[in-house]
Amino acid sequence: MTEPAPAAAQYSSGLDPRVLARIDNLELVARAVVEGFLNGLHRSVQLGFSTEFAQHRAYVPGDDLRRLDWRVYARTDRYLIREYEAETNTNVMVALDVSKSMSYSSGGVTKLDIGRVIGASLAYLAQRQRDRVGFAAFAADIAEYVPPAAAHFQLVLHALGRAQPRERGELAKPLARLGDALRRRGIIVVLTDCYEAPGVVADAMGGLRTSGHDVVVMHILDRAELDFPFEDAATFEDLETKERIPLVPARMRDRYRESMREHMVTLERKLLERGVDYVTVNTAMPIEDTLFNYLVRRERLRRVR
Amino acid sequence: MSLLVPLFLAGLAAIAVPILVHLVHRERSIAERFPSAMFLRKEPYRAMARQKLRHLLLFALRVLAVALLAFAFSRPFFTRKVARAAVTASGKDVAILLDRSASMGYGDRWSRARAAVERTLSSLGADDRAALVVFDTRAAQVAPLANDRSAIRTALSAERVSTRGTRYVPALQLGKRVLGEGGRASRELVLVSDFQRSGWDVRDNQALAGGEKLTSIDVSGEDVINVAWRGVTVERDSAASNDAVRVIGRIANAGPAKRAVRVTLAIGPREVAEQKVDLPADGGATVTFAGLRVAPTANEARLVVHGDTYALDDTLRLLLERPRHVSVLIIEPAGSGDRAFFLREALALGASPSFDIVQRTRSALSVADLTSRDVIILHDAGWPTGATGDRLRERVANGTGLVIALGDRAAPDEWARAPRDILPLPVRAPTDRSAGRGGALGWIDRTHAALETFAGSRSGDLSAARFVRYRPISDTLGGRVLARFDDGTAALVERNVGRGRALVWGSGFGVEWSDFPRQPVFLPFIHEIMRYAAGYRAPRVAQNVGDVVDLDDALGAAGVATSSQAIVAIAPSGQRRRFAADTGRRSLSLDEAGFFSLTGAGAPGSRPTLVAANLDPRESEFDTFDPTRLTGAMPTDVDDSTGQGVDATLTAAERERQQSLWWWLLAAVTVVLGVEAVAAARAAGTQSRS
Repeated sequence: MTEPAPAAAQYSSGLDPRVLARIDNLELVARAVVEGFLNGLHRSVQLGFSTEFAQHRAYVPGDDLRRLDWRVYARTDRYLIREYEAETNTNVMVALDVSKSMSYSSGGVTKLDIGRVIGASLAYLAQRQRDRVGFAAFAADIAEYVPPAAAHFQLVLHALGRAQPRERGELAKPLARLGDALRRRGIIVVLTDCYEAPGVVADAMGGLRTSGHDVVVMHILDRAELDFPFEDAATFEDLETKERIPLVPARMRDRYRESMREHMVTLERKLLERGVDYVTVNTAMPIEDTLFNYLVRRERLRRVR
Repeated sequence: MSLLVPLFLAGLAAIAVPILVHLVHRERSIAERFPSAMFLRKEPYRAMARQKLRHLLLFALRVLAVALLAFAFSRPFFTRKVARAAVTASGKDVAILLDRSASMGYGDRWSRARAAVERTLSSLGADDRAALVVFDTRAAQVAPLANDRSAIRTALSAERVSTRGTRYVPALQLGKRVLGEGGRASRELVLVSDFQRSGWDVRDNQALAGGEKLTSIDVSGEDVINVAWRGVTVERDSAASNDAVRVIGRIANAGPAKRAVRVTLAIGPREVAEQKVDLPADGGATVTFAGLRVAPTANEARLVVHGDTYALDDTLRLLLERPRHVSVLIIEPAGSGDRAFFLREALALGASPSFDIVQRTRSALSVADLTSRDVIILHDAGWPTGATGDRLRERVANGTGLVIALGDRAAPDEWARAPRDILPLPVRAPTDRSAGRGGALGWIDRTHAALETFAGSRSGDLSAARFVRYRPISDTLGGRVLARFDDGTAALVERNVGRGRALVWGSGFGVEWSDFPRQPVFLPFIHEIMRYAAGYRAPRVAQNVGDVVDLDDALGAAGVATSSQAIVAIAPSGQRRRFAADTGRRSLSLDEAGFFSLTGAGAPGSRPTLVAANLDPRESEFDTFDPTRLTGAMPTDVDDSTGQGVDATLTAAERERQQSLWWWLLAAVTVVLGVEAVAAARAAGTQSRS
């Protein structure tokens, strides 16, 4: 499980997820989130995604002269333009779990809302860096699909906005189909609540990874799922299976927490073993913090790799 | 089973409260939705079924408590069957209530009423019993409840129309009591009356018991044509000599046509005046007999309308006597001009009573001037010196009224010698209010006998007068403050001195310090103050049947000391009543029209005090009301109207009171709530433990 970096607090603009979730305009929300945390960062805007030098190419009329590599010109007397990875038009695919369990909320903002905002923010960030953006909503199967393209940012936002909780969810099948649909390698961000056995999740993600995609799993959890704060004896109903279980929460709270913690640790371990990034998202935390933590961590891991 | 107050069953609606509470609780316990049961499967809630059951038990207990409470407040009772010999009788009891008030003397009402009684008797079965109750303002049972019809017929033949008014409530109460004592299940009240509106007040609500029935027989008949006296006033005839009076009678014509009637006034046996009066249709007129010279003592007099069909209200009896004068002595300081002008003129206009005014300067005042005065006014004059002052003090202590006006010439040193019991404090310098609009009377005691005339809303604005100066009279003067200026200073104070009374006024009765004498209210103010100071009480010229006369008061006013002697009252019918001495206040109810004669038993030769009693004017108002309203205002308070086999002698309220089921129900509510508390505590304890 990833703990928030101490620096996160100073970059947080304090945007309340509940407030953001109530804004219908996802682009506006994404811009607020991204610009918010980028302004706080005071660093390169080319952070996290494809920001590294890739290659030189010959100057052609119309290229920005500021991007001429003058040092190479001094050495070789040739006009060469510096190209970065960002300019290689990487695919960024946002895959959002829209299973029924994502509609859960203990405080006004559902996990699906948070997934929408994060997805929109990542899409905005990618579009800002001229990556191609795509979107897939999935539950038991792919429910909505927007292929990655530079011009699909608005389509992605619309699709995110339309996303509604559906039936019971599954990871293996829809993600396998997603992998089949993506012909070009890219980054796949999977926003899900991972209610499957860690091995199943890891296998599903591992398949994408094997296909050469850079996979990020954002595990979205409500605070109640983490803390299980219920007091009164009640019947608990599974949102997806409708299974009802009478419970005395106080008596099983510790055991639940331990199970959840164990689930998350196992998930992280198994995913890392397959080269998949794993980030937990607490719906009660500011979204910029989540993005910041992820991007900083991803930057660090990239250097290690 | 019946309910005394079924309206309280509406309280059953409160059952909604526990239902709502439990529904809300059930809502909460329907399901706690959770994203996944992935980590929940290992902890089934074993006590769920038991808790559900416990909730149902709590719910049932709460509903039961509310229902019992509502039922208890509706006061249930059993309509028990009682084996009583009287109840098993098959016949019915009938109480005939016969109106014999004065209005029943109009036309042939009385004969029709008697015929109605006769018809009622004839309609009764062999097992039925009947009683006769006659009533006017009072009710009396003149024939007991029995099968014997002849007793009723005998009593009926002896009855006559009275001169009293009408009240239905006593008759209904007595009739119900008679029937209740009879003990039969089937009972009927037969009310024979002309149903005068004045005899019934809707607030006089009388509920009928179970099995009781009210039958009304209206004998009012045709439209009424009647001329009647409605009142009389006797006042001094200021246009004639001082001993002359003027009699003003008010007469009314109830009928659709104008009428011309002859009216006469008789004093004693002699007719002394006569007039023809034209009366409009459904209207009235006044008849004035002026310039009548009458004797100093009260004499019987009669105003009579001739030619009218209903004779009972054609004669108005009154007492005529020479008007009493109140003798007033005004004492002024020497050489001050005519500052008592307004005071004197106001007193000169007095008619009831008239005022005999004598004016003296203080220097010319003699002891003889003080004799035989009802009121002495020290108008700006200081207290008389020497023997005159002593004599004045003595006169006041013996009952003469004293009015002291402390105006601009009231020299403080001349008041320093005034007796302490009359004016205990020195006269002070005046308060000057000339800088602004002046002062005004800010408060008067309208409950006081001297000022109660001004209690009405349009009875004179005493605050209109402006006072630029006045002498502050201290509240510590020791008397009762009757009026204050607007700065709180006492303006008029009363002090009792022996049998007399002294009134101290903080200003003059002239216009030097105020415009009070120029205000319209000055005249009645002066008259009322002087009447009170003189202890004057207007004689009761005429009273009505039903009025009550305070005998000690009546004979005391006539100068006969009676508290230690018996009083004999002789009614117009010749009936004598003796009222023993020293039995507190004694009173006589005027229960017939005519002249009552009151004498002290210790002075058999003395001239008796007379009281004139006339027909209650309301009996001359023949407006009627619908008898069904009477029945409607007497709702049956028991639903079992069959009465067979039922304890019919008890009203529903009595039966409910005897059984007191509501106490048991309340006890049951207490027990249920106790069980509920225990069950709720156990449920809560189980939850907290788990």
